[in-house]
Amino acid sequence: MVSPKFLREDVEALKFYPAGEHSDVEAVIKLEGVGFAFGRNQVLENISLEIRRGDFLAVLGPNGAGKTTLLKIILGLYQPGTGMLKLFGMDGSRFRERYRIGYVPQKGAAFGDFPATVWEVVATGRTARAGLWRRLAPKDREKITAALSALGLEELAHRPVRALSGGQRQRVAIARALAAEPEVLLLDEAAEGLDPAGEDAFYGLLERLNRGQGMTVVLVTHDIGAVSRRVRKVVFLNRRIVFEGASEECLENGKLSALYGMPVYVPGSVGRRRQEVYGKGS
Amino acid sequence: MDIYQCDFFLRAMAAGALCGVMCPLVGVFVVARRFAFLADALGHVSLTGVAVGLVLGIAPGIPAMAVVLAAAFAAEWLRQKERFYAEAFLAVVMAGGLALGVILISKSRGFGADLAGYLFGSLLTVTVQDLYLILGLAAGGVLVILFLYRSLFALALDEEYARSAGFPVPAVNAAFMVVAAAVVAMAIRAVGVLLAGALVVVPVLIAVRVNRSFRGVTVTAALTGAVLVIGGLHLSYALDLPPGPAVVLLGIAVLAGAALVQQAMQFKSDGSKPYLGGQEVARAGGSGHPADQAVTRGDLRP
Repeated sequence: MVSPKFLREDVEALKFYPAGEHSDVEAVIKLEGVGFAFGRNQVLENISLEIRRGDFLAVLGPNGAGKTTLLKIILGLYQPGTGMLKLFGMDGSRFRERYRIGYVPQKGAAFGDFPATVWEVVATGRTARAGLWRRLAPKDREKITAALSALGLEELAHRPVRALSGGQRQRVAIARALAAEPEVLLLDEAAEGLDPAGEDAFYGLLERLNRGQGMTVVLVTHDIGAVSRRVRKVVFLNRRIVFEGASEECLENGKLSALYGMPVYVPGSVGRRRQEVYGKGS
Repeated sequence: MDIYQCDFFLRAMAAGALCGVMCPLVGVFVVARRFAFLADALGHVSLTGVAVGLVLGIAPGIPAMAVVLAAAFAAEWLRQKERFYAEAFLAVVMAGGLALGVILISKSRGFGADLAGYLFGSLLTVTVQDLYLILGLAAGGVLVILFLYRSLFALALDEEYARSAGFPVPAVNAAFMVVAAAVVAMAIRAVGVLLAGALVVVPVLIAVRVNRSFRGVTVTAALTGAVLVIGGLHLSYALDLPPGPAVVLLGIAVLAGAALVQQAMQFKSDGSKPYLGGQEVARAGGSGHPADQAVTRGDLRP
């Protein structure tokens, strides 16, 4: 069995905001009645959601349910058509400290074929926090090294990203997000492209960041198996929020199958629970 | 006669070297954003500005810069609004600019000799005033690019990520477009409106073949641009060729040579592709990461 290297203790070198440091703001992300449409196509409708500091949340839903759109609204890439977004207690449109929210995009591995080393790419994450107009200080370089180390990328630091495999590129995207020492980490299908060992290590890393360092993690995923084993809270989205609660609750009594409208097999669930997950139709 | 004792040749070399450095500095970010056609389009559109300058009897560089700047902002707007057809629309803008320039010139007579210089460059006629202007534009351009380097790199790499991380994307884009307009106006002097795009893009394509880092590409492309222009000038003198086309053809020859050398080197090393694919990592057993090694060995194959 391969022992994944990026479960190493090195992640401790990145000092994130421990839970409670900003205890005056409990809800780091708050959406109230948010709606969004692409032209006439209503993608999100009346979304009200509160993500608290230290949450480990998965956003599930079928294709076209609006999961990525929801993340992009939180990231300020889209402006909500209706409703209100608050980030760290501040109106989303006025929020300027964007580096406090790390982002690993759906195609994090698509850095293109233009030459750029792993170090250069990860450093862009730190630049966002350190200041766009000044040189990176030794402390910033340490943080970049720590982010590389946390993802097992130290030896690849001076290699061109275009020469890496898809899984390695995905790790680069995660390291870039971590280099900014975000308080919240948003990941959009970020385990895509990782091999089984890498995927396991990836979720292990998220757990460590969440439980050990108090980082709020929001995961958009189709990987229901990961949801069942790792996250504490699940939001099921299908244009509206159709379920919000503990992950165990989501998996009980064929609820997930009912939400998807078809039998859903959850890898890792066994015995009676597995049959429940299959739902009545199976 | 020693050519280095001729003031016009020394001025041409100085102006050419500055253009040769500046064009690829802009080109690196344009090519990385897969918008290399922009350089060519802006060069062609600048003919309208040149024509306006000739008709009004003012230095064509200024109206050319203004027209290029307007076209650059239009191109950026198109890129944002029409993601899939941006290049097609840019071709329309380019053709429109060129057509308008030709019509303006055809309606005004007596610019034949001047026009050839603007179409294909006129480095050998650079005056001291021209040189100062080019020096000023180059210094300003270098300062802006150095100041914005990190942001420009982040944008070139992944614009969506840059926006999400709080990089001031519209402001950075606007500043870059101003520099691009100034650089294209400079390139008109060196190689002319029809070949300006080549001076922006060719040194970058050469640098991409021999570098692994973005910084390496940036420095190499700038130096390559300067060497190409100076080399092209000498070639032009030695073979009695027009300087602009000589610079561009020399660049293309170097690019073809670099591609051949790279292919030969890849062929020598078991046909692998050192920079252009994943084989380099796979050959080296990945990062040493156990998972990478396992993948390389095929342990994880189902």
